[in-house]
Amino acid sequence: MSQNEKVAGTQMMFLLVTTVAATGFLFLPAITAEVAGHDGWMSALLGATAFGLLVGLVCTKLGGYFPDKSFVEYAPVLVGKYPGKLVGLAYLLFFIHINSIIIREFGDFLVSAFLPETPILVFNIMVLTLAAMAVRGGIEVIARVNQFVFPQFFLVLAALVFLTIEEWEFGNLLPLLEYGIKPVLAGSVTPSAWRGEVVVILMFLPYLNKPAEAAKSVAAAVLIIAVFLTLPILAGVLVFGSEQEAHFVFPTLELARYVNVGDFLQRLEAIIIIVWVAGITVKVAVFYLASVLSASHLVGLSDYRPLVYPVGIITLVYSIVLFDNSRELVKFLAEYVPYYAYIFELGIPMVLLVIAIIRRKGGKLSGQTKFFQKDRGS
Amino acid sequence: MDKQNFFKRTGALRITTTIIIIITMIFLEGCWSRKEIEDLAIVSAAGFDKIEVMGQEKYRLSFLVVRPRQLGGGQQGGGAVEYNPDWLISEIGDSWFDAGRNVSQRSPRVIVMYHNEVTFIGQETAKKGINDIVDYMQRHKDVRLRSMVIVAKQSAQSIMQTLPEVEQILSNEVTELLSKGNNRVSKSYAVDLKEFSETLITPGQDAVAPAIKAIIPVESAGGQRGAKETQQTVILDGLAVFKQDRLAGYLTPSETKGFLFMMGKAQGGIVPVEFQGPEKGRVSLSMSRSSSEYKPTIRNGRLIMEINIKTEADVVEVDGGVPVGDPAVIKELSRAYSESVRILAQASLDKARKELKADIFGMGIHVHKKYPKYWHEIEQVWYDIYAELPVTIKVDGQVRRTTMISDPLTIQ
Amino acid sequence: MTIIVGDIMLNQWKKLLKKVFHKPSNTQGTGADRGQDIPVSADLAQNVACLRSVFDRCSDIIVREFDVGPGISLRAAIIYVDGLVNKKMLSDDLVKTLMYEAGKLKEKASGKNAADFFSEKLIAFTEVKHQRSMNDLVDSVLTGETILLVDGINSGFALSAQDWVQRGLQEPDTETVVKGPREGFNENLQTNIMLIRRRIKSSGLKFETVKIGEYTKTAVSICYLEGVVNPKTVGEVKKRLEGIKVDGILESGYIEELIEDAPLSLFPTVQSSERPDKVAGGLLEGQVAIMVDTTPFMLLVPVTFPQLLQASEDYYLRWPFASFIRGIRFVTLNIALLLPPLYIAVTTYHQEMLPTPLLISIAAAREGVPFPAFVEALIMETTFEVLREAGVRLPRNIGQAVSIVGALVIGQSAVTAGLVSPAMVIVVALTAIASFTLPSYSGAFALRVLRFPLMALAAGLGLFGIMVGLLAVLIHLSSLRSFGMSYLQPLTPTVWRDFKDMFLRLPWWMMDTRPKLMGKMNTVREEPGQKPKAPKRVRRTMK
Repeated sequence: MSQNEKVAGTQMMFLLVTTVAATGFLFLPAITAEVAGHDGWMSALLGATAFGLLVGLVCTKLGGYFPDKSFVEYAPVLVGKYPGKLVGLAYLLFFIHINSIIIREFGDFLVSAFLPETPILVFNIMVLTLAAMAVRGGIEVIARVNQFVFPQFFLVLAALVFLTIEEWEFGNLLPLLEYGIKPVLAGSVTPSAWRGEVVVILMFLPYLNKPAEAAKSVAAAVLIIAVFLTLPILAGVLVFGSEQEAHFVFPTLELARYVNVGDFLQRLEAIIIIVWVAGITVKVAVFYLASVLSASHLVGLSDYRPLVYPVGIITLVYSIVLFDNSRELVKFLAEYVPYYAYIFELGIPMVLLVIAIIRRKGGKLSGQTKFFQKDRGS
Repeated sequence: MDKQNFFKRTGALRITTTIIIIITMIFLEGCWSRKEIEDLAIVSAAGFDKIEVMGQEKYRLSFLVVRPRQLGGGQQGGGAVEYNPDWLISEIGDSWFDAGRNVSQRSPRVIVMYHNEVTFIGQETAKKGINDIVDYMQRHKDVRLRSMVIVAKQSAQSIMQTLPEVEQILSNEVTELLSKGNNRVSKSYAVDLKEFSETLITPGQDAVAPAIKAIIPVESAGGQRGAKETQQTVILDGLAVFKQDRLAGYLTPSETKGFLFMMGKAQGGIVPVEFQGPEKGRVSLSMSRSSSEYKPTIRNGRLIMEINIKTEADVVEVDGGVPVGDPAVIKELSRAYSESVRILAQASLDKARKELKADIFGMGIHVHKKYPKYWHEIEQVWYDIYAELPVTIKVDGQVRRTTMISDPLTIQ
Repeated sequence: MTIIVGDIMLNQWKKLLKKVFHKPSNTQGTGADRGQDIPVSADLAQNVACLRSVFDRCSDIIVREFDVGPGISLRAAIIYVDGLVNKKMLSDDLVKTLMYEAGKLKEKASGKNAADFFSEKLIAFTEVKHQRSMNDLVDSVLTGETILLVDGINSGFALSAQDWVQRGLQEPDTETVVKGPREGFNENLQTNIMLIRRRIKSSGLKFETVKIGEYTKTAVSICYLEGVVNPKTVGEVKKRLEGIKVDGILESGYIEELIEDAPLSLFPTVQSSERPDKVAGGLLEGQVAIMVDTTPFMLLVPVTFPQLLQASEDYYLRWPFASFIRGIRFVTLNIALLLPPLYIAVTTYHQEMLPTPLLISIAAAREGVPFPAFVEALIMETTFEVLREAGVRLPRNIGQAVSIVGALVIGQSAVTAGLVSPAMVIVVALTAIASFTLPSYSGAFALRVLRFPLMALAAGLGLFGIMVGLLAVLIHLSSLRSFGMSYLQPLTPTVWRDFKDMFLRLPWWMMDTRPKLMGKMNTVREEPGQKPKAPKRVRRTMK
């Protein structure tokens, strides 16, 4: 049974890092460079981290009240049956939507930068099939796969940073805060939404083997992500200068193209892409699992596995029909996703947390709130 | 045994799925982006020329394509006709990309640019603006950012018609020339695509690129070495200077040396110094490193620029009995060396400011970094300010060693 | 929509597989000679007649009747399988004693304690069993024991006088070592048990023998080290062995396939070895050995993927070299699996990754080769697999001829004829050599087979395809378990403690704990602080 699966705090931490960093790593540098210029690294490092920590704190605090229930299961307990189900449904759609955006980004990127003559559907199907395999295995399997993917990811990042180090021009970062703090804050809008993806933890808290450490893992994850997302931005600006960086669609990829090891190993971007493919697969699997779990908890199924293929097909179709061209996707990512994501990442959990605190303080113990008592007892 | 369980326990499902995926893969795969290696025309150099055809401006793209069998040795070739190891092909089109694709009408193999090591831009083309060329090169995912950008002092195609003298293919010859030109003589400066476009688009700096020209080598002009009289080869010739995206003019090799001192990028090369002591003579100094520092300051509302150059050199040749073994003489030499470097640097600065009116030193960037607010006020009129900017160049040159012998030999 | 199609196909597969795997069960009926059980009667003639009828037309069963003497008239009979017993021992120690010495004894046996009298006074054998049922007698005869029946005693004596021709202890062919013991198991279970016992002289070393196979009645011994092994694993092994109902077991491979966790996986979840030192090492780490009679290959469970990369020699060499070899093995693991797919992917999709001179020489070499790289690789890989198989099957003296044909004719001439490029020959040769460095035969097999789908994926989608394939393998491996252990342990779930015997083989004085989970019961392997120190040099004081 799925509830018997347990993952360790560190596994969950790495899982969250891969989940957030997998796409941000490639898409964020261009977005921040466009808005915040050479101060983009500050946007990714400071504002977004603060937001991520806040989201993590709210989610784990909220989950702490219901140690063995997922968000979709306890939402009805907090706000009443039908509003609660509505919230659950909203999250189901949110996860599916985010997942199809991820898959679309993935396919778009591979088509434009890697295998231009291949139909995008091929990539989308492949990544979804892999993710479906992993989701059927359960969160344990995803976490284990990630334990192999994450080190590769780390190595790639380290390679990007260290193999370009002789091209670094620290002058490119000057002058600091040229246009004041405003562009930096504006630049951190999108990275924050990205960092806020740690919200998936809401669905996975019951699987942690030590629920007490949840907040610690999430916070650690957010900090590691900060390094993961800031370094490529920083390296990009240091190597290319902010003007050029903002022109590139995939600055991190350009960085990889610029790597030169001893004058014979060049053009290593393919390696970066495939490692990134592994990261994306984990990310898709995580969101896939989150949506499948929410769907099964919403209707009260004891096993989510029958839902894997149906949800997958919905996600696949959605990922194809969502956008017409690649710039539309980037515009959507940069301009609309943040505000929409803020609601789901921080807004709703925050409201629910406030309700939970009030109801707990007020001691209104209705029949359904026995979880509070349990929590107190432990 | 429970049948349902059997499948769950064994993971049969997952394996069957994998097999099915792989089978579908093999049959569905149309081998979309596949290019067999022997079907590739590997471009080693590209040349960009805008030409007039029947009164219309056309784009002429030339490629030097490697012939692997001539180069790699391959197998026992079977007595094929001897070709040049690289093959020049060019085609005309309405845009660069168009011209590039038109080449396929003549090339039996797919043109791929990922091993394009050098990019030649014709002089006349460069004068008309090179924005489109940089766009083409950067948008094209094949082109490596490390490929060298070079301005041809004639048409790009005519440079590509020359034959390499030592290396087998022209692109190798040119890249080797460039790296030596930078490291050993400091009379040229290798610029790759990334650096070129970065300097092009960064406000407060103008781009440079090495210049190259075709010559008939004098050694073989008389026919002694058996070479054909008309066979041309290439030689590096200073730097091409761009203002915005247009070619503004050239720095001579010696001005290039001054420019490299100004940029702190001079890494090797000879600076001859006339020694004015009791024993007169000419001493050749081989510089080993240099660095430069820009200090813009606003004094009384006026911007002034101070440039500090630090450089080191070794004595490599003494003509006329200058006693270089004497520390006092070395000190004197250092002073003379600093002065020579200052003169070289000043010459390049004057040329860039007065004649070419291009900020190739990136002084604007330094102002920008130090005084961002002031910079935003003057950004529009920067070139006017630059032309009149009071610049002081201070050189701290040190002669370090006398290499293998100290005092020169005294012939008795 | 591949997924939908896939699902439909999956369902069909399910049905098909169900049909194949679920025949109507009549497992109980397979045992043919298991008739009605009759107790041994006191009448010798009746017993002998009964046995003769059971062993009707079995010319290898010898029944010999004789008189016990001298001086008393008592009929007796011995029954045995010709070739499985030591005849000299039987005639000297049993028949002779009974015929010439039994009557001389002063005490006389009478009535009820006759059986005890016989076994205590007359049968000079170390192992004597009283069998009261006919079926047990038949089983005893078939396992090589000798039956002594005496008139008037309603039980048979099963005497252990087994002795048959067996292969000597040779160095195992599949797992050779440069440094380390050279003896391997042979086909005799008793000898094999002896080989283990000689290495682990502890009463905690247990052998529990069961008989599996309705016809073959193969002795299968479950061997473990009590106090170290996880009792759950032993219980699980017993449970799975009990579930086996087949007509015969001829090799441990039968057992392996009937008890493994992932029968459809390419990866082995049971380890097999013919080295007693390897099995003993496994027992000391908490593995359970399943020893099967009539084969030199013993099974070890549970096994994890990293263990398949460990050879017993790793523990005999000094640790820096052992660690170096481990490193080499991880490299060759990757070469064996990935080199041909990578070659295909890079030369057909990612030519930009190759350094220019290399690209040019590969291009020059490939000019004139009529096949795409994938087909070329497929041809060469298949050729290699054929050669390898031929090398195994052919009589040993012809084997050399095959290698000459393979190396010279196919390799050299194919290149000269322009059918394949020299680069591909290098790739295939390197891959072939690399795949032989892996200590686990079945593990290496898995990689060899996986190479082909990976090559297809590389040909279809380049490096992306390879990554997809690898991820699928990784997901599969992550969900595999072997007797309750995750297959990728200690990599994931991560057990840092066990990394000391993973990529590196740390010196023995640092290997202070057994692998987690397997040796959970008794984790400490050795006293800490055993790092050898040179004795302090005594400084002589000058007097």
